[in-house]
Amino acid sequence: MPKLKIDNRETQAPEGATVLEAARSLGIEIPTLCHVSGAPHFTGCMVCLVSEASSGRLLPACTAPATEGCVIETATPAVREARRAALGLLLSDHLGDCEGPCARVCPSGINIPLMIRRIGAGALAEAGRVAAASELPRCCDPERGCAAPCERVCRRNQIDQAVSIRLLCRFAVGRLPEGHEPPNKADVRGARRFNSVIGRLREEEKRLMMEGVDPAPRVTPSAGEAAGFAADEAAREAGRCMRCDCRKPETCLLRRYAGEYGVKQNRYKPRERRVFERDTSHPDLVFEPGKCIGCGICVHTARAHGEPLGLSFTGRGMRTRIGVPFGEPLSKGLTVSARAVVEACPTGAFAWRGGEDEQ
Amino acid sequence: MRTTADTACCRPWTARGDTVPPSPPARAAAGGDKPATSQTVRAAVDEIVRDTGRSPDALISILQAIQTRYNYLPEEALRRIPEIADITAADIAGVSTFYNQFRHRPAGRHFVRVCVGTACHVRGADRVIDAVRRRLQIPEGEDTDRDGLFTVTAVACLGCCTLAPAVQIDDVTYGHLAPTKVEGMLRDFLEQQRRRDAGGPPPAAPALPEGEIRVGQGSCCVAGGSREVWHGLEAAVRETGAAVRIRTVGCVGMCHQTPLVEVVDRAGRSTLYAKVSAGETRRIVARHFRPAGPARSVRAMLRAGLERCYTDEEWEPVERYAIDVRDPPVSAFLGRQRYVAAEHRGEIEPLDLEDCLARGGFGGLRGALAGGDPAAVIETVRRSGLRGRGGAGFPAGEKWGRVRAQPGTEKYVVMNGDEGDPGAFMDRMLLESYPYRVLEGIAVAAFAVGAHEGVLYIRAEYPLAVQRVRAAIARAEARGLLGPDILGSGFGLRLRVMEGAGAFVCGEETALLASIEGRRGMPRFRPPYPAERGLHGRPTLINNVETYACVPWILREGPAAFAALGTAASKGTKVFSLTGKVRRGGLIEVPMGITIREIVEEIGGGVAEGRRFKAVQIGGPSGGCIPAEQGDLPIDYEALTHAGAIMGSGGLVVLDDTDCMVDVARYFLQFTQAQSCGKCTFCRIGTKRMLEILERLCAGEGRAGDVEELEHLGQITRVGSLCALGGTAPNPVLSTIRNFRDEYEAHIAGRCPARRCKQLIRYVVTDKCIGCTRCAQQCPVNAIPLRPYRRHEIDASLCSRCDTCRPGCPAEAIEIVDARPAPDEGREKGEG
Ligand SMILES: Cc1cc2nc3c(=O)[nH]c(=O)nc-3n(C[C@H](O)[C@H](O)[C@H](O)COP(=O)(O)O)c2cc1C
Ligand code: SF4
Ligand code: SF4
Ligand code: SF4
Ligand code: SF4
Ligand code: FES
Ligand code: FES
Ligand code: FES
Repeated sequence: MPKLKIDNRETQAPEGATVLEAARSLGIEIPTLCHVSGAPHFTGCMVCLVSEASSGRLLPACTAPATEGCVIETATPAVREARRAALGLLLSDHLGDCEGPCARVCPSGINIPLMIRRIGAGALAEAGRVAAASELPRCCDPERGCAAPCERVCRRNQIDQAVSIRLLCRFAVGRLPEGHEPPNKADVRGARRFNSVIGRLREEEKRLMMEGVDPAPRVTPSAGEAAGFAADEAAREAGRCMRCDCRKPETCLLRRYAGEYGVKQNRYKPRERRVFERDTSHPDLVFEPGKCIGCGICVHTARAHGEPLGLSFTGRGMRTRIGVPFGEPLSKGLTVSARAVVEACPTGAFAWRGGEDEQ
Repeated sequence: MRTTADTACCRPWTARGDTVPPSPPARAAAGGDKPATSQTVRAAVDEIVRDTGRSPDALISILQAIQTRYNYLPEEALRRIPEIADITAADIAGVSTFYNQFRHRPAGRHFVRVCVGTACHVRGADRVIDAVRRRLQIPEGEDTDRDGLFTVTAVACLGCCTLAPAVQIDDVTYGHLAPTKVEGMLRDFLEQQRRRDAGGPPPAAPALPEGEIRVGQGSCCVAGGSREVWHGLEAAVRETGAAVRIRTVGCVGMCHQTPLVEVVDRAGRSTLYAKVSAGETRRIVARHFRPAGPARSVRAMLRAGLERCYTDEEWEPVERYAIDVRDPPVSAFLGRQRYVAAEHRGEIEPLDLEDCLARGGFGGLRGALAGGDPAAVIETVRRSGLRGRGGAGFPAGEKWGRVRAQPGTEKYVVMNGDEGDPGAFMDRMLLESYPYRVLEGIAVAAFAVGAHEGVLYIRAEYPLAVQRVRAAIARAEARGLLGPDILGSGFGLRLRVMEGAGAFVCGEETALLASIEGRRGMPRFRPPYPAERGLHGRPTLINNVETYACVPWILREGPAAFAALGTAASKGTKVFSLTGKVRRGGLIEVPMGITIREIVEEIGGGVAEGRRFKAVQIGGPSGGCIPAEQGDLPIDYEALTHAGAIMGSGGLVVLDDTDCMVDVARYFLQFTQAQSCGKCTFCRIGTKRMLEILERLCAGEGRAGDVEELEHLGQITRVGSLCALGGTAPNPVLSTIRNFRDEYEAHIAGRCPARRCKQLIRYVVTDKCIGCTRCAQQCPVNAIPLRPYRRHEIDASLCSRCDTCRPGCPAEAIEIVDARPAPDEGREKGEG
């Protein structure tokens, strides 16, 4: 049983334990992205770097063995700097919006895409609760009013015309159950969280983004603007939303650590950003390569579940991709392990079609 | 005298073809003419798997066999594999897309491999590949011409750097290319093709030898065009009727002088001819071997004939005909050298086992086995001070001891012959020229560590080395020098060769092991080191080719003799491939401790007339640039590391004042970035971000702060990468920043001081122009209007900076200037 010191605290680790395990037994947190307990070490993401005090060498904690007498530091400036760099580099090759563009600018802090999805699904009271989660939406408050930045930035503008967010919002608030008073939170927008942003779409990306989205033009309320949408109209308009937000914004570890380490998405700007891709060839899940960090967890998971085809890495270096062998659809690659893969993928790359909000 | 294997290496131009049967056109015909039905494809795969076995280890060999057969990997064939072997579809998809060698699309009938290795790069390979693609009208993003005749690919080092820039079309190598020569090259190739298809009778074998002619058969010589030389010699020998033995020898290390022919006459006198052409062979033979029926006058006449050819118009400058090794420059080239790994250089026939034994070959192994004490062998190696020649310089004896100390009886030895440095080819030379020596070293090591099985991993692009080593293993086994019971000692060792599949990262030892196990060549964290957990989880000794090649010498001459060479911490000799802007390039073996300047100036003869020696790049993509001012630095592991370079595997590229250091850094980083396995964040993305900055700099889009950002990224990538590929990838960048920061600053300001970066330069015709129209006729993009007898002008908006016109101008009227003109110059240009 090797004895070692982590952040000045002595500990004894079981034979064959890693630095990460030893640290966790002391309650010391070390971020990990590509590590899965019990699986063979992959050692790819390098966000788990710690420093070995004597040599100053950085070691991946998830893999480095806890050896007798070694002295490890997990929170020195150099360690934090290295982790921040690793996260920054990962994000420089990352394509996704954590939150929808609309939600990012909403002064009432509404999770607009979620509200719209609730309307689309006919869960109207729920939609109302989303709309009024923090306060009475400004756009529904005649005293305050709102210039509707959401509609200005709505990505659907790049296709034809913005989604009628204000009308949908009003529609949702109007469906709040009797007696539901919106809270009056002081800090409406909450703590600012890390947000990955795609920015403008390229021509070739638009078609893909519009897949499964209603291409019809903006719905105008038949009873007039002031009366707002009828239920069927609201549902149709909701179908125009492109669902810009990520399907795993709450469970994504990349987002969480990026926030914790104060990483800027643009710290390492690529010369050209990668192109949006989305694979919907599985009935239950969606795969977005732009959000993949190449950790290999899905490959391992599918294999561990005995998938006959499974997933594999293809290519090398920056061109490494995850895919089903021979270009077969995901439905053939993940016949029994879809759930496990979605749950294991540390980012929003593999996600349920309906996203987290439906789990 | 002509055994089968000899035949292969005696026909220089086809040497490569012989090793990759059938040659690509035949393959294309086999697979292409009658479309393979799915049934025949499946049957073919079944047959292949019967040969290779169905274990996961066999995957790479299976894919190689499929590709040899079809020229690419048909999906049909890939889908068959999991049905009949213990290999998953996921592994096939992963492995077949990891290695460069594998193609998933059909290719053209012929492969044009344009070398973009270091030596070729600094001699303008980028211009050559552009010219080839332009001539074949290959659209952007594709690699094959419309007629499906040629597939053009860029390869890293064909191993004949002294002929740089070099291009290989199927099995024919062309050297010293330039954009202007591309047309001729393609025409010549097709012409050759026609002649080869016509065929010819094999020459008859002569009787008993009364003299010997040795023809260099290293890849450089082969590429140097010794096919005609070979046939010429044979024809000439037949004419004289003299019983002269023509032998092939390995690389002599004078690759800049190829083809090389050495004649040993009846009296045993030896004469070396360099840069021999086919036309000269008859005279050479006649000079040494009198025709039957003595006639002094005839001889005198022939001699006179030989003398005459010095002035013959066909002869190019005298340098083409350096006869005697004792001529000052040549002896300087060979004189400072010390042969250990390359002992008996140019004297022995690579596969002649008798010759090898007669010279004491396998004596070390014999002694070790007779002594029966592995620990003593390890002690000997330890005392010699031998350190690993693969790059990191880990003490060999120490490593052997660790493997020996591991429990268990199942251990392996592995030879690392992946040699991926794009400017180095010493391991190829050792394997091609001294296969028995390497095998002996491996056998000694296996005995010392207690291994009974071994794998020799050899780079995919070295078919000749693979073929020779395979033949050498077979012959050594037949003589009981390898196999189940070596020399009756009871010690057994089974060796096999594995061909790499084109991935630089597989030189890294843990990736190499993954590759041998049939997986994607992705490194893993160490510890555990291979010495503890290597191949199939067993203790494994991995050493470099050259490391093994030093062992027989050490055992024979004693550790003290080896340790007597070199510096305090770096013992023995080191083989380098000396290339770049040096007059005499080639392979050299020098004692450690020799200075860089001695190598460049005394051995290499310095840079060309009128040029200034600027720096050497040592250690390839993991190494760095050492400026000329630090030329007194000795060749020593620690000294080089301290200077920001590394010993590396032995690439040594000399740079002169026409070389742009930012471009050199960009070149190497582009190489490593493309070779990153993609596993760890810093190497995969960090090198990419660095490369983007360098590309911007070379394109004149540099910004303030770029250099600092490069330093930041370089530093973090160095310390944060999983393996040494990423860990050392920033070295070329950081070392050039350290020593040539002003060049970086100049690029930010939009100037390339060496006038090398295309977007930062402009071609202009000065008033020296005599109006000969040559440039106008040669310009491939018609940027120069034809204006007979008047001063020509280059349209900068059309000019592609291909450098075709400049060297062709007889009046030296074409100059390269900064693209970003000084303000007043700009006005002038606006008017013109
Ligand atoms: C990216 C990379 C490439 C390497 N390429 C080679 C190579 O081509 N040949 C080689 O012998 N060692 C190479 N090495 C070094 C090997 O990992 C290993 O250290 C060496 O084979 C050990 O043998 P030695 O101790 O005899 O040098 C490479 C290492 C790295 C990180
Ligand atoms: S994968 Fe994570 S970081 Fe990326 S968009 Fe989704 S939540 Fe944001
Ligand atoms: S398309 Fe939907 S998610 Fe995207 S910005 Fe518009 S409303 Fe928001
Ligand atoms: S898809 Fe998810 S689990 Fe798979 S490699 Fe990418 S990030 Fe990892
Ligand atoms: S003018 Fe430009 S494009 Fe034409 S030959 Fe000269 S360098 Fe090449
Ligand atoms: S968690 Fe350790 S390298 Fe990814
Ligand atoms: S042959 Fe081109 S660099 Fe070696
Ligand atoms: S290969 Fe012939 S001398 Fe080098």
